[in-house]
Amino acid sequence: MNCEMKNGCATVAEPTVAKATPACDVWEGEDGVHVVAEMPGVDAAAVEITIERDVLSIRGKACLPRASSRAEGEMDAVATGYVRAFHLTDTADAGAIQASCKDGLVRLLVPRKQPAQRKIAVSTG
Amino acid sequence: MYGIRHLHLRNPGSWSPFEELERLQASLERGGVALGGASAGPAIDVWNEGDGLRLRALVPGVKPEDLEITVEGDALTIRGTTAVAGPQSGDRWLLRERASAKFARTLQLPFAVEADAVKARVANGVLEMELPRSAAEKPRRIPIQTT
Repeated sequence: MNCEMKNGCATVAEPTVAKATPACDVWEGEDGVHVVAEMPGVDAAAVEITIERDVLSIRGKACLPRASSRAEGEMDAVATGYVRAFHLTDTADAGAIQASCKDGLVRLLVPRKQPAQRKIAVSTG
Repeated sequence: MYGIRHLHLRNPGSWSPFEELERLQASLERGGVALGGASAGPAIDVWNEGDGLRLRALVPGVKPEDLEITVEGDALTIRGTTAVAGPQSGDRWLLRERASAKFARTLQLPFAVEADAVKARVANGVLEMELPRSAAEKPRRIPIQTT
């Protein structure tokens, strides 16, 4: 199993919306690979999960309260959206991914593909 | 090889080599309070609204019962615990960026707030608070006596 970081690999460019890279936990269990992404302010309806070739992308649009005029005040929570992407390996079952969103956490389970079994006929003679 | 490898997606035109240092400096200037191994705390926005203040803090994965908010005059403290459910026994970490930790953050507000009237709620990992200005601190009109 490999969890390789690829810095600077920009494949998604959406300059119109400020995007943050959410902190993620990823671990491998018996049932597959689990992903937990922190996306505060995002509800289930605002999460978009896509698979393009071998890239799994998780996007979330945050719905955060904001003032009509925020000229005065301390501000450091600026994310209005989140995006994170992962490479899927050949053994990941992309068609069976399960996802949920609660308390600002997006959870994914990427199941392992069941190995294809083929019976080989043995000829005689 | 089974699993996933993660990519960093970044707008190539927006990255600055000093970005991380500036973020670290901002974090230190933010006045985070570390107590007994606690981390500096969540990102917080505070702004004036009407007669008081509005606040929002990003607390993903923190349950309302794991948050403790105290107000004393113009000092607001938010304490909490981020409980991170991770792998079961026999599972294997591939990437670990979230921390399971206690946090505490104290903000010095620009004025004292009416502690009994402070409202707080958590939704989708965001804490929202309304902090009305203390009646004692509200501007008062002084009547002018005529002789």
